[in-house]
This record gives sequence, C-alpha cells and structure tokens, in this order.
Amino acid sequence: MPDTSSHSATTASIATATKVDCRNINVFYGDKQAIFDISMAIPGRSVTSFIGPSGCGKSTFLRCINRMNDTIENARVEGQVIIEGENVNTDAVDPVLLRSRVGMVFQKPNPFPKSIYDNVAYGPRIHGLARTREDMDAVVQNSLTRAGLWEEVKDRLGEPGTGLSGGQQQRLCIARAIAVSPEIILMDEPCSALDPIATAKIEELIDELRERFCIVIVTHSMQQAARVSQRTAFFHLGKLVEFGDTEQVFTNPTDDRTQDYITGRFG
Amino acid sequence: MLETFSQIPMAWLAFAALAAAGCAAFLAGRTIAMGIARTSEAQLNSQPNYHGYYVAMWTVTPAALLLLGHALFGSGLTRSLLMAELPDGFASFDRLQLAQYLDRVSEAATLDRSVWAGEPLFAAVTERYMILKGGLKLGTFLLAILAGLAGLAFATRRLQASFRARHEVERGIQLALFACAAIAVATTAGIVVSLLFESIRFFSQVPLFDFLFGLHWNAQTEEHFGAIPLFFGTFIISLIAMCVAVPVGLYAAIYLSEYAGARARAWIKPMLEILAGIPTVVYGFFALLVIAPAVRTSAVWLNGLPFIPDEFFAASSTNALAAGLVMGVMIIPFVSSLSDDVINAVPQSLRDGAFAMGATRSETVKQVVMPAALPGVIASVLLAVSRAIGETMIVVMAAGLRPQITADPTAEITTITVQIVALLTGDSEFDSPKTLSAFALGFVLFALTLVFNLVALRVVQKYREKYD
Ligand SMILES: Nc1ncnc2c1ncn2[C@@H]1O[C@H](COP(=O)(O)OP(=O)(O)OP(=O)(O)O)[C@@H](O)[C@H]1O
Ligand SMILES: [Mg+2]
Repeated sequence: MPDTSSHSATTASIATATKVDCRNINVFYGDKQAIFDISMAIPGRSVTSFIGPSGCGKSTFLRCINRMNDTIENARVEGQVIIEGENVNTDAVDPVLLRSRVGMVFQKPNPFPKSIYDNVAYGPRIHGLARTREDMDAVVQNSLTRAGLWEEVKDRLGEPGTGLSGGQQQRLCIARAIAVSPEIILMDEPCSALDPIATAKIEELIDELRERFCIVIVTHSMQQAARVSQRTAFFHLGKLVEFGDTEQVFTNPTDDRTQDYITGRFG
Repeated sequence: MLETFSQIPMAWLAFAALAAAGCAAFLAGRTIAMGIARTSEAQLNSQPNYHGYYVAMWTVTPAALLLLGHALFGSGLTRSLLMAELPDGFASFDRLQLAQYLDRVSEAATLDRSVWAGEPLFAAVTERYMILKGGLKLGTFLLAILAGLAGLAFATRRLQASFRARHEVERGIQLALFACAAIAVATTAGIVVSLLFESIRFFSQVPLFDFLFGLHWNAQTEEHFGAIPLFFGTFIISLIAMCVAVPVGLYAAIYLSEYAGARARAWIKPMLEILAGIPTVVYGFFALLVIAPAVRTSAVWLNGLPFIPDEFFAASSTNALAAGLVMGVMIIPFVSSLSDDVINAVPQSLRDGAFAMGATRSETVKQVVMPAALPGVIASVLLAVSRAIGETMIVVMAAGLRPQITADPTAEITTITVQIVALLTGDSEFDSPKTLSAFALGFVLFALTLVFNLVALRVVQKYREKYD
C-alpha cells in the first residue's frame, strides 16, 4: 500500500468549500464518447488528484475545467462546470478570460521561446495586470519565488527559458501559471518528464501552493497522489469510479476496481 | 550494306537485346548456383538469385556502357572522321559554314538517296558519312556482344559455394547509385564551369568593371554592356513580387495552420498547389493581356488628374508593375507552403501553453508561434526571392525590353533573364561579345540565386537544431 504522509491524513478531514462543481459532464471526440456523465465537487484550497489507467479520460476531464477542449477541433463538452456559482461551460463565458482564472501546467515543460522574465511576464502582460515596470518586476520575482526558482535564475532573467533544465523549466511553467494569480491550477502529469529530485521539489511546491490555490493534479504515480493530495478521484473507461478523501481511497476503497488498480492488479 | 545499316534505328533493338541478355544471364547464374548447391556439401554463401543478379550485372554492364558511349559520342566521332577525309575544296570554309554543311550531311544521311541525287559532291560526302556511321555502329555492336560474353564468362567462372554473391551485388548497386549521384553533380559542375569559362571569354573583351557598374546597356545594336539597368530591373520586379507574395503567402499559411478547420484546409491547400502548378507562360499572357493594359489605363487616368504633372507616369503598355504583381501571385504558393510547413513544425505544446495562459488565437500566433517559426519563414522568403530573380517567362512577356533605371513602376523595364532570352534568340555568331554577354548575365544570375539558397539553407539548419 502506498505511503500516506501525515499532512494529507490531517488536512483531508478539514472540510473546504467546493470550488469547482462539475455536473453531468459528457465529452465526445467526434462520435466517440470519452467521458460518461461525471459529476464531481472539487474543494478549494486543497489538492485533488486524478488517477486511473492510461486513456481513461483524466486529461480530457481536467481540460473541461479551463475549457481547453475548445481548442480541439472535434471535441464537444456537455454538462455544467460551476466555478464559484457560475457555469463557465456556456458560450456566454469567454474561455480566454476563464483561462486567466484557471491556470494549467502540462506534462512536458513548454516554456515559450522567450527570456525567463518574459515567460513569467507573459500572462500579466496580455491581461494587463501590471501597470509599471516595477509592478511587473515585483510580479515576476514573486511568482518565481513562489515557484522556488528565484534563487536559481535571478541573475539570468534575460536568458531564454528553453535553456533551463527540465525540472527548472517545469517550475518556470508553474511560475508562469501563478503569475496571473489564478484561482485554480490544473496540472496534467507535471512530473512525468522529471527525475526524482526535481519531482520532490515540485511536490513540495504543490504542497505550499495549496494554501492559496485550488489544485487539481493528474498523476500516474500512486505514491505521488498519496503524498500531495487530500482528495483522490479514480477514473476508469471514461467513468468516475471513486472519489473521496485520499486516505480513504488508498486504505479503504469502496470499489473493487479501485482496489485492483492501486494494488497494481491492472492498469 | 553499311549504308543501309546506318539508317536503321537501333536504340530499341539494343535495349531489348540488353534486357534479354540480362534475363538469360540471370537464369544461367541461378541455374549454375543451384547446381553447385546440389552437388557440393558446403552451404551456398548467398541465395541462388544473388548469383543470378551477379552474372546479369557483369553481362549487361560492359555492353551497356559501350552502347551508351556510342549514343553519346557516336555522331561526334563520325563527324571528326569525316572531316579528316574531306577534300581540299573545303579548306576555304570557316567553322560555322563547315558546321552547317555537316549538319546538312547528317540530316541527308537519314533520308532517301534520291534527295541529294543532283549534287555529286554532296552525295559523295554523304555516302562516305553513311559508311563511316554504319561501320562505327556495327563495330560497337560487335564489340558490345563480345564484352557481354566476356563479362558472362568472367562472372560464371567465379561462382562457387563460398562466393559472396550477395555482397558483390550490394557493391554493384552501391556503384550504380553513386554513378547517378555523380551524374547529377557532374552536370551541375559542368554547367557552372562552362558558364564561368564563357564569362571569362566575355570579360576578356569587356572589362568586368564596366559590366558590373556600367549604367548603359545596349547589346543589340551597339556594344554597351553596363548591366546595372538589368540588375535594377530585376530588383524592382522582385521587390514588387515579394510585396505581394510575402504578406499574402504568409497570412495564408497562418490561416491554414492556425485558424482553418480540417475541412477548409482540405479545400484550400490543393487550390494553392494548383496555383503552383500553372505554367508560367499562362501567368505571362495573363500579365500581358489583362494586368499590363489595366496598369496602363490607371496610369493614364492618374496622369490626367489635376495635381499630377502630365506624363508623370510612363504608362507603358508593358510595365514593371504588371510583371511584378503577376509574379507575386505566382510565388504565393511557394511562400505559403514552405511557411505552412515551418509553422506546423512549431510544437503544439507551445500553443497549448499560450492558450492555457488565456491568450487569444492571434496573440498566440503573434507572440509565441511566429517568433518560434521566424527563422524558417525567413528561409522560405529567401527561397521565394531566388525564385523571383530567376523567373523568366512572365517578365519576357510583360515587363518589356527597355533597359532603364527608373522608380516609375508603370515604365517599361527589363531584367537579367529577359536580356538573356533576347540575346540568344535570332541569328548571331557564337563568340561575339553579344552572345557571350548572355553567359556573363547567366553567371551573375546563378551566383545570386546560389547565395540566396545557401543563406536560406543555413537559416533552416540552425532552426532545425532548435527543435529536434
Ligand atoms: N484529440 C483527441 N481526439 C480524439 N480522441 C481523443 C483525443 N484526445 C483524447 N482522446 C481519446 O479520449 C480518451 C481519453 O483520453 P485522455 O487523454 O483524456 O486519457 P488520459 O486518462 O489522460 O490518458 P493518459 O494517462 O495516457 O494521459 C482516449 O480514449 C483517447 O483516445
Ligand atoms: Mg493524459
């Protein structure tokens, strides 16, 4: 059984208000249905992890929350995604504005071919969040500090972001995401391209970020889910099989499929 | 008998004979190898088929080379032999007359005897020519048969169980492939060398400085070889063309790769490819018959406006603007398809990153995709420029022939390529400065496009390193 560290054990029981309330989500790629009627209430100021075998729809469901599925030509999302009481999955809501509230970090670090500074300043610039150069400097420093990268890059902010190591690039991407002060941060397997040390750094970071943001993380590592998250959702074949406190899901799953998956019997 | 033989076309026969010999040799080689396999204890090193290929290779190649040599050099050799035998009366002929006479002879030699019955000397020379030609042909054929047999004998004698036929065939294939590559390279080198050689002959008559920096060009009636007006014309027309092709092509590429849905792309891409497939002569007469008159009409109208001085625009019936605009349209697909490739090569993850930050599509294109694609886009523009510089048909038809330096786009103008065409059409001696100047212009053209292509290649290479 994966180790459940102390903090998730203690904080999981602290009830937090629902931040994202997904109701009856169905997703289709063309004629093929990828998500089947999933409803899930994701709490704020905590980490929720999505686990499940490859192709079960974790990324697809995650992308519903910031409407990244809109950028996929043949994808269609049905259902309600209610953030702070407002359904964002309607034509009335501008996905561009939504995405400034819901940040995202991808599996492969994808810094823009710009300087480290400009990478972090990108979001604040397009959303007009910093008036003066000093404001911007402060935002950049603040974001890099919270991403745990400031000390490593403060002397070379002008160098291209693509010149950093993989782990640094991923933290740069996290800094970029938090620079616009989103309410929610989505992470799709953020550590799968990183070595264990870089992974440990990111996990530490996620744990700190939890105090200010609602974080949803997709992971293939059961240990990681157990270490960083308070709530865990197990997906299987496009359906939500089990969703509950991380400790309960890992120690006492209610569904046999969850049991089989976390004990490594399939997946 | 040789005369008759000289008139029989042999190419197909030779080809068929080679093919038949090859098949026979293959079967022979394979049969021998299978025989070896049956009788000897040792395992065959290579499959019997490879023994067959090996024998066929050795049988066909020497004969084919001989026949190829005959096809390439046979008529030249025949002429030389004939010239050595010509009676003294021909001594008064100069080179050009002699060449024309020999052309007549070789043409007559393919016709019926009655055609030249009236001229005894010509008939005699032609008869002799036919005998020489037939003899050479027959000799080559016999020699080719001998060579084939020799190859066959050599190859079959080498066959044995331990013979590495597969390895040898591989080497043969490698050689054949290398020969093809070598032909391509040698042809290019040959063209460059001959260009260079003839240019040097030109520059021995006209100083290089006068050519490169002279402002007056008139090769037809006088001998003024200042090429600046031609360079200028080429520059102006390329500039107009790029002003059309770069924005339109680039934006089309951006639309196709970033905005268009799968269905729109499936329609528009083939359409652009059709644009690329239209023969340039069609563009040329479109420019001449539709665009040039329209430009002229507009220029005349502009001249008539009160605040524009009379005759301000030249309003020529062939003009730089018409040629440039149409050339620009012709180049659009080059820019768009190359840029499209480059833009598509920008990783999707970068776009996702920008979208996830809340960027709109145009912000993503402008701030993330284009900066990443810029080197490739520059390379595609450079390739398009070299294409514009070398383009001939449109400018020949629509730009005019008058070498002049003017910023007026409605004026008649001429380019390097147009002048080359003009210099080489019509009768002229082969080593007059007029003809030779075409080589010098060709050399400049070659050098220009080479530079553009090399720079573009370098840029693309640097760009590749970044993403692979
Ligand atoms: N762009 C797309 N077009 C069509 N089908 C897609 C597309 N993206 C995903 N799918 C399909 O939707 C299903 C769910 O895919 P998704 O990427 O959400 O799985 P996942 O759980 O994230 O898998 P992994 O753990 O491998 O990342 C899969 O069957 C996949 O084939
Ligand atoms: Mg995924």
